[in-house]
Amino acid sequence: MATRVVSPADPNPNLRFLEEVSAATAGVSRLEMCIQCGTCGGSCPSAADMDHTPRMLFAMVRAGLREQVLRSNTPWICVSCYHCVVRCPQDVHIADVMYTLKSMAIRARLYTDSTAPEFSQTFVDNVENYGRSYEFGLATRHYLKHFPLRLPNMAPMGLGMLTRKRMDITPHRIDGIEQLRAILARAKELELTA
Amino acid sequence: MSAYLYYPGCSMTSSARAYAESLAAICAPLGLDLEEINDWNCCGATAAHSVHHRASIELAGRNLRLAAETRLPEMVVPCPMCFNRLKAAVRAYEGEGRNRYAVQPGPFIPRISDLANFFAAPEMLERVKGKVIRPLTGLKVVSYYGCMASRPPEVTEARDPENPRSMDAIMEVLGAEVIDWPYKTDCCGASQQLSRPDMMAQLVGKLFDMARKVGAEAVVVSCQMCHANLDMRQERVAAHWGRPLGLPVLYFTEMIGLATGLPGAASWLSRHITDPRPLLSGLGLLDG
Repeated sequence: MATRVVSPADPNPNLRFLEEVSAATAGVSRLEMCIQCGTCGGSCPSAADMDHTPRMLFAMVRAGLREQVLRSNTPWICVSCYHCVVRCPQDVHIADVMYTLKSMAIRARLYTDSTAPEFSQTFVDNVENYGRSYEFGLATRHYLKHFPLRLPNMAPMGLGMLTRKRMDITPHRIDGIEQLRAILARAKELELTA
Repeated sequence: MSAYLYYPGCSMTSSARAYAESLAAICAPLGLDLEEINDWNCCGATAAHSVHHRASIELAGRNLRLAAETRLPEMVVPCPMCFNRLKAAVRAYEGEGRNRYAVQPGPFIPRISDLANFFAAPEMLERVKGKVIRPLTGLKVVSYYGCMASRPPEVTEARDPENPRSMDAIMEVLGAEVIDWPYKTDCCGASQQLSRPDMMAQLVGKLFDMARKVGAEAVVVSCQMCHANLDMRQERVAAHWGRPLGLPVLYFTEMIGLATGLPGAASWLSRHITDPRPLLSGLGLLDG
């Protein structure tokens, strides 16, 4: 199933990064099939905030610009709406590639704005602690760390959510939490060795 | 009574309480018995598979295993994000690489259904229609589907991912005036709500602007992430855009409850930040 455009007899060192990204993506990325048509950027609701449109980023991947790619804000600005994936004429799994690039950027310590990665990590920490997401804890911890000055502005909305009984101040812990922690610990271990 | 498995997802117990309460209320009159999976865990959402792909599949794998124990053939999921993650996990467990996962759901996997699609099945629409005693006459709405119930279609198995119809069909049966509009499946930016609120305000503003332009008085949703994002932040978005928004955002389940004359409607509707009660009372659809 996996389609590779590099023939083994003629390896192009620039394409090694493309191969690395493709191999690190769950399933088959089809990233090699990109024809640079730009349908992805044209369908993207957040392209205006991106350092590079998805099309441009994939050209950079192909050109082997490892560091610039992993420093790009593009995967972090992606809202995971999958519009590009539906419309891509080559069926490139664009959103999955964005997830791959996020993981690679975290591991290479090349993405410097910690807001989005730490939000993901806080979310995962909550799941590890309770087995479920804990919206109140997630929001307050995130704002305290990254936007403490915005907290006073958020207070009326937070209060509105509380009075309308739409925020639980105490988290619910599932009964099978030990089992769930074991699943997560093993998954992380296997992911690192994969 | 027809029995189905039910996976609520985390926000149904907090920010989406109105969704949970209205769903619970409409089931019995419609002859539905939703059995909540015992001790379910978080689906992992976007955050988990941003960081750990394997963990995101195995988190869902534990839920699938719990679901399989009940032997019920179909599981309904109100949250499109949970729906999407559970479907993605089923796909992984049915695919070639299934043996690489440490957590296995077992041989039997129930069918996973998006709640809005479940209610839009012809037989369910008939049931709903038979219970409407207070049609939503005069209520002009747009249906807003967002991303996760439809895309990517190889995961969701959505028949028409660019133009879903489930909530339009439900709202029509309830007697509302459903207005067609181009942003049914555009993203509201909920995933960036905490990281990039400026981006979120831009995307939400675009949706409200169009909804108002086509003449809608309210937005009907099935996604509690969209609901939180559209309902809670209207003041901020209005400040960003420099014009008022003020469009109530309603769950389709609340509207089924309202049109079928259930007494709880006023209570669910009181949980919204953008208060829908003046609009609904003004149209004579809500007492008081």
